[in-house]
Amino acid sequence: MRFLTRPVGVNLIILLVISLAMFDMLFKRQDFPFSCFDMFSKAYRRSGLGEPLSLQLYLTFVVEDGSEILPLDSYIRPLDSLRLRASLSNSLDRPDVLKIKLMRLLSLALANHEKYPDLVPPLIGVKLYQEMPRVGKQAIDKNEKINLLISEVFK
Amino acid sequence: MRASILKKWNQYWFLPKSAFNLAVGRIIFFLCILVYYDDIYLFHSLGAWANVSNELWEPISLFKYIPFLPIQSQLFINIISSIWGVSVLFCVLGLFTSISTVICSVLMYFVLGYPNCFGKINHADHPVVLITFILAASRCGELLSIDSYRKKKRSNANSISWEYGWPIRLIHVSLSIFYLSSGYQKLSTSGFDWFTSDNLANIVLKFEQPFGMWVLNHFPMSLNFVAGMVFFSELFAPLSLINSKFALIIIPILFTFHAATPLVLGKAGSFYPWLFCFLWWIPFDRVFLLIRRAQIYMKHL
Repeated sequence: MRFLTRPVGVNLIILLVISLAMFDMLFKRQDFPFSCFDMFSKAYRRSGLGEPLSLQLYLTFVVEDGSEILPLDSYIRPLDSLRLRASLSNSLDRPDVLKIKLMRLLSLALANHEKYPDLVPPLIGVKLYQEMPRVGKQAIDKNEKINLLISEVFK
Repeated sequence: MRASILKKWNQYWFLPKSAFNLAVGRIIFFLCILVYYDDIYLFHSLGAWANVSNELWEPISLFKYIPFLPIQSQLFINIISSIWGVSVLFCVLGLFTSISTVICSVLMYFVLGYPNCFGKINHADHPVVLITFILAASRCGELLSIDSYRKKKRSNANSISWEYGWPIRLIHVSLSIFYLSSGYQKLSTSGFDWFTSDNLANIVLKFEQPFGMWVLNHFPMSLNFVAGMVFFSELFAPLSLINSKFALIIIPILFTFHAATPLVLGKAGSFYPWLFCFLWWIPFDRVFLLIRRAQIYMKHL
């Protein structure tokens, strides 16, 4: 270890940081705190190509009278809508896992209701939908959204 | 040839520099962290993650290898957050700086990385964590710190050394690679379509922020211009490393881009921590010299 003097150590640190940053860039990896920073890199096009603008997932919570409401971030704190959407998207091909995630999410919302009854209403269920393209072959009308029910969980 | 490359390498990284810029940068940088992330150590916002179910736990990077995660104890997370907050304060003050920066960087990796293990990686905190690690490896506490005050009582500390230049250089290089990476992903995924098409207009429509919608309605073509500016300033960010004139153009554009993204993207575009990483481009010694000269000039008037 005699060769590991301070200047050698500093050079190694410099090389390590640059190499890891370049590695993540070239191989499109996410190794926190390095990343390829690919957010918003895909161009959103809708110039009459019939391509879906987005296939967004969205949640509704079912309240006691059976009606559905769109959740605010306060319902699912400390999660937020962006994180939740990404987490649920990761499990779309595994319905059993998706169901468990929704169950836990309902538990979290119920716990938040107990803590902050003014902010979170009493909930009895949660439904996950996928919003189909606004402009596309499957759309009946250009302005119509088709919402597919992916999964639902009740108390 | 080899000697020449080594000479250039050493000249680039290790020219003797004053400790002033590094010290002022350290104070402001950690002060910004202390203010911006106050909810973590003051209000223990991180502790709420203990209530989130294990089913939503999707560890990233080194979190995959830490055995006791996810943590179910809110108290434990709160204690870690508090220790982290104290370590940041120590970094500002320059108290036991060599130890406090190491503790701060390790805990910051945990504190800011932990929420990323629940579905989505938030890219706002990456540069802050990396810069803290770089500062932990540097001698940033040797001036304008309680440590230096105590040390000076024992000896005359030399405040010009090769040790004070490389951390700032490495921060510049890392951030430039981050921007290059972002530009490269845009180029490789979408090509020039990213700024020549209606891409940014669609993004504005998606997030429906008032300012973005106003620009879209009144100056739709300006969105392509803005997108082009972002695209090329990201791709050419490394030029700022080799020429200060390029830096004077590119760095303000990138700063403005970060400051303005919340107007277009709302919450999804709030990359505020990136903004205080730009302070590392400020030559504090020159700024203070200018202020001092101005003060002298005002006295003579």
